[in-house]
Amino acid sequence: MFVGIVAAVLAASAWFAYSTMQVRFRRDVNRIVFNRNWELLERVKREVGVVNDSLQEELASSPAPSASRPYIVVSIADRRLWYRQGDETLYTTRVAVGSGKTLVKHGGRSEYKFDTPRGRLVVQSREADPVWVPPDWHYLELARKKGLGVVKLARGQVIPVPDGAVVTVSGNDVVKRYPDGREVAYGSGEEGKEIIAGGNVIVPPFGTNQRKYSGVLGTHRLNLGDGYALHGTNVPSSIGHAVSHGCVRLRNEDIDYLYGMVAVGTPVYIY
Amino acid sequence: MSLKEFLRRHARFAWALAGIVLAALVFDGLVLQRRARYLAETARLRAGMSDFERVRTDAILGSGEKRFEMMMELLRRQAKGDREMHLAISVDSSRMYLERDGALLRSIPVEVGPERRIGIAPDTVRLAVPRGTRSVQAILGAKDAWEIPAWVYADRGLSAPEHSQLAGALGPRAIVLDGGTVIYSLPTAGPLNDSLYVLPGSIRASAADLEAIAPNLSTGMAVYFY
Repeated sequence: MFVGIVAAVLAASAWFAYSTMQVRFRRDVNRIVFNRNWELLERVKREVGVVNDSLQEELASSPAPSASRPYIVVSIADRRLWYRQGDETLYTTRVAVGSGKTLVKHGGRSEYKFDTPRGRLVVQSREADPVWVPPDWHYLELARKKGLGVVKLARGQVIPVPDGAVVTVSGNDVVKRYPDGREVAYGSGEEGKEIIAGGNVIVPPFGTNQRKYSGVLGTHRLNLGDGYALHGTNVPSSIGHAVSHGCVRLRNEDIDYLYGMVAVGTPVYIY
Repeated sequence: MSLKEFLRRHARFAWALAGIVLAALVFDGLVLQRRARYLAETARLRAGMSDFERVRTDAILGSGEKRFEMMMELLRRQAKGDREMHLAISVDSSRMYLERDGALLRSIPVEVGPERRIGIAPDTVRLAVPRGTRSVQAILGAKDAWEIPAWVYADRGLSAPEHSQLAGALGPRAIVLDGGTVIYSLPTAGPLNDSLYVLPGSIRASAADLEAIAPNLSTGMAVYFY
């Protein structure tokens, strides 16, 4: 205890001496200014960094960052989205992101990779009640699952089927044309109801009703370019998982909110 | 033991302590006298100054501290204005930020290793908390080896092994910066496998946070410390 008291007294003395040195420095600077000892004053200013201070100039020339522009951040690892302004979070929610799976293309020379792209994207357009136009991989994936082949149907082309009819395009529909000339349109695009004929999954041409799926993308879509988007879903249980083909999938109530808030041109940072 | 008993048994030691305290008090008295003189003179000088001279004096006195604050503010602005993906570490608030183009992508709590001088003079190593700009030199995974410096063993009171390269020494994920600073996670083995010990002059973050940002890092990427 006695040693402790002595140590405390010594520490207090040391601090007091240091503090007094600072008081003396203040006195010296006051004295220099009072005596107008300009040469010495310049030297002191240089030492403490007042004159020719490039730092001050640099600080003045680099304006404080503006916090006015809102932006979206998506963490692939956390499967979460934030809508932010400056450092403030305006909205955050869970999302589904790309599965990371690959699908080898027909012929095996290349593959589709279902990753959510990292980097800076921009909201390019906004849509209510979006219609999904499935890319070719959707049909290839289905065919692989069912052990079937894939045939791409072009306008003007006819694909014979076993019952003597043919599958072809008539107007904006893919139809089954019977030998008597009767045409029956296939239903509009719907998952699980794709056209299968002669052991093949038929890929309808772009622009036909059979290549348009309603509801799959939920209530709204914010397009990010290159086929990627932030959109709603008809499978809310998928949110929080890595299951998409690269898009960022949200619950419909979340995409509704974002659709109301987010303008075209908003940056989207995916990491 | 009572005070009387102590004084009786250790009379010399007690006198020595009393002498030290007395000397310190005399010293304090002298310092106090000088301090009073300095303060009085300062007050007299300031009373004789114009307002402009007083402001000028205060500006000079305040600039030492201000300069450091300005440097840190400049670094913070540089980091915020960097259009490329980068890391920014606020040493005082113990947070690391993944940023790009003024946007905050991730805020990560970190532990900043203390400043330390290791070794016996004159053969010492000073490990300071970094300030300024660094760049990413390497991104290490759990299987990547790191040469553990001898001073780490010395600092931990351990004997250095013959081969100090250890896979996963910096945890499941780590970022090595130029100048030797590392941003690491808690490893499962090696001298850094101690949640209470943070490598002096370096940064420790959770493995989950480092894993989440790792795919976005690249060598040469800027890391701002302010």
